[in-house]
Amino acid sequence: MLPAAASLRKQGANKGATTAFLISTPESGVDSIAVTYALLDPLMTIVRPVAAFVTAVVAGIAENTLFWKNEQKTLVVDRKCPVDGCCDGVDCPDEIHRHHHSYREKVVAGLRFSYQDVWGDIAVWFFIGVFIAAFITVLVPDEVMATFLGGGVQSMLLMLVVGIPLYICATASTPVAAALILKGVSPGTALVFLLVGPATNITSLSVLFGLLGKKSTVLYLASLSFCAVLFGLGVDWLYSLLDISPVAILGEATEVIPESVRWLSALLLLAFSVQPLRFYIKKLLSPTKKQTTFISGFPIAGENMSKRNHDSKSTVKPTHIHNGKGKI
Amino acid sequence: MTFFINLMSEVWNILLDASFFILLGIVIAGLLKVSLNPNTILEHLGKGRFVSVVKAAFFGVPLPL
Repeated sequence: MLPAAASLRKQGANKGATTAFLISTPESGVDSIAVTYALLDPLMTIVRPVAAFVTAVVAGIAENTLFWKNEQKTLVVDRKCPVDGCCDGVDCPDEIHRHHHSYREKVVAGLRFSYQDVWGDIAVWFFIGVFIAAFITVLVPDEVMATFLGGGVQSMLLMLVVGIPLYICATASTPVAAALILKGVSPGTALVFLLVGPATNITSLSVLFGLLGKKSTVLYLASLSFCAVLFGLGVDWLYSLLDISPVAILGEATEVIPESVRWLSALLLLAFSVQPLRFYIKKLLSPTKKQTTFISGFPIAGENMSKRNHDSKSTVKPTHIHNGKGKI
Repeated sequence: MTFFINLMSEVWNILLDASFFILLGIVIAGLLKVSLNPNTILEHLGKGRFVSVVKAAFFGVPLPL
């Protein structure tokens, strides 16, 4: 995520646009929207992306209002063919560029991207999230959470303190939020966690410092926290207004899915997770080897494609901005 | 031991609930990548004090991670 934003900035996006992108991208994505529908409820499924969008706009506009420097530039974008990079797209007319590959080739490339890159990036985090959720469900006594995080401004503020330094991606934070709500945490407080958890962590804040400067980082945090608390309070109010019990409707959406499809999906997802998990464990065990691949930027002979992809993700490469999918 | 069994059954339950929708989400994300060309949107992010912000925010919403 951060490399994409860093290159966005370097290539001429103004600070406000960079800030907005840095908030809405981690806070929401098609994958986390789908998981929210599965594990939480339809209301949260709508509120999450809306809150992400509004927060991003508020923070970006605050930035460009207070610290505007007129630096009109045209972004240099990578127009490389998204299917296999067969053509850089620079001197290639759009009409031809779009038709380099057949429909079938595009779909195959898209699906490969789905499980190799999209899932490959979040698999480890998702399982960490699932285990945290399971621990909360099994271990934490019911009354504890409800007393401290049952709703109101103080609950939201407490959740900010927990969520800001924590790193958890949007998809992985969803089962944790579901477990929290089941333990009596108010849905608004859980939303604060869902918004602030993915948007910031200690590492990203230090990178932001360098990218945007001190004043802008403080403004970023302030706008983010303010919007999160406001949306949290709004959501609690909405649930009470509509007289919905969040615990009762949690995860109901999945009941329409037949048991066999649920099992098949779980097994398929586990199969897709083997490689990212294995890669992650390997990386944990050999930090020095990772460093070599990382600097050279080339795959070590014999390593497969997916490994190279994973390594390249940890470097900041301006060329990786194409489609904004460069990630941590 | 009971704790471990409870924990693992909880993990499996979450997986059962989430997997179908995760697959759906990542497939849409993958197809978005090859069908839309987000670069054309990105080109506008350099211009405009406020329009660029709204575009960047909107563009970031469906993007995973």
